[in-house]
Amino acid sequence: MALMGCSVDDLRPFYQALMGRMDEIIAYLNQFPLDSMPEDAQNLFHLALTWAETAHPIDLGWKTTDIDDSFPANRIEYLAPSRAAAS
Amino acid sequence: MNSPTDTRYLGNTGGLDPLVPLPAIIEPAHYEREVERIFRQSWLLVGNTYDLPLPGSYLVLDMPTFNTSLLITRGHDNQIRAFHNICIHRGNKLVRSGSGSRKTHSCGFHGWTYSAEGKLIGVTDRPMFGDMELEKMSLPQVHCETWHTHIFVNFAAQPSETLTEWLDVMAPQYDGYFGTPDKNNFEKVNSFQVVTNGNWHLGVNAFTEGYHTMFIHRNTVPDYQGGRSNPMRHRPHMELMKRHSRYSAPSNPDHRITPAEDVCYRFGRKLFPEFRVDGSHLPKGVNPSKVDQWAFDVIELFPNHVMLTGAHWHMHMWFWPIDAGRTIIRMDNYAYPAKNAGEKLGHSYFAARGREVFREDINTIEATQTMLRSGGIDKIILSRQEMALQHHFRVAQQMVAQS
Repeated sequence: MALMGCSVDDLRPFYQALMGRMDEIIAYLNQFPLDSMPEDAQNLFHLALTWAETAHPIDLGWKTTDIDDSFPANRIEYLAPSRAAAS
Repeated sequence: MNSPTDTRYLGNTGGLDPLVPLPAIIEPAHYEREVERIFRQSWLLVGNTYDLPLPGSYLVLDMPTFNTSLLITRGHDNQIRAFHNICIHRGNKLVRSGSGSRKTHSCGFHGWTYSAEGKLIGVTDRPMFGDMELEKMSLPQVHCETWHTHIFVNFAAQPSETLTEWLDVMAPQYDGYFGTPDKNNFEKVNSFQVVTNGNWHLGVNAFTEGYHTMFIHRNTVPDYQGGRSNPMRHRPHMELMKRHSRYSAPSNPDHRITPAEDVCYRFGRKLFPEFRVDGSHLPKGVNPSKVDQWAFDVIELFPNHVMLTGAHWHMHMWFWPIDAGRTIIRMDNYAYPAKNAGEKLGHSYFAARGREVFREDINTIEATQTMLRSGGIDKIILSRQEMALQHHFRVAQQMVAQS
């Protein structure tokens, strides 16, 4: 996970910048249906989701972006969404 | 109940033994008996119809516990079936991996073809097989039934109980909650697995008591349960069924919402670890004692499945043994269907926060496995708040003792 490669000091500006503007960001993105969002809106959407997934170290007051007493993140295998709806 | 720290106990709570000989239970010879007398005699939850949305949908589930791989399909008759994923010609694995949607499956070895319903419908170079009645043959089928959106299999030649009987009092209690095989009330948010070097019992045990939460989760969810009136986080409801158990976790009315948690759940419904939500829509089986300060329920579907049911989300964990000392732990998380970007934001936060809590839980397994094999102790000591573990071992020992 990319989160492991950065410090809380690196992460904090990103956390603060989007925290302050999330109401605006979501109000803008909520105009678009999820399955047909224009490309520039999609980029902003992915940025917002990245923020949601990386906010916890700052939110919880951690000194590092990952904690020692936790199962190693690099041993987690993410399973792809089912492709059963395709073709 | 008189006090927030009281537990309402239901079911056969007498005759339990708080001392469990876990070091002996995780020995390889005992594990082999468990595979035959527990796993092969049980209805096992293997999947969700969410992953098989269309006629022709299929998925592959490798099951080292049974030295097999299953091919689970939704037929063109809308029926869910499970087969050993094996071509009956020479035993090749029919579908290597993954999921998708196909009318038929052809073996890569010699092109034998099967329908989504498992029938052998095509044999290449057919005249070379002479009079053999291949046309009546099909993939070897495994007993498979669904309960709401959940897919179960049973490897016994003849299951001793129907799935409804197996599910005990819970069978009719979840109407309207999960959905149906054709319409899921939730969407899957994420899915992942790990291989741990620990016995499957340790995995199940890690998720079926709340006693650990104030210690193990002090970094990820420090104040999500209990609070000042219930500091040791006693379960308000603890219910033992014939094999399964179900308890409710107590919410903390003074949970401090952290800034990003507040923002991420602002645009949709509140998810884990925020539990101050309206639960009036929930069916009988969810928060069965209808306690006010309710967080979620933890259900152990014996032998190896743990599910957490919340107001607008649910989590599932499987513990599939590879051998006595290794287990695949899989987690699938579901939340209410997101209609827009704001609700998806909440899903992302829920997925990440839930995963961080899970990582802490599974981090006890390998260290415990190592030390249980040391010979330093021959029994573990369980509290009344760890009653789901006492019951788990009682049921496991009973099934192993039956010949």
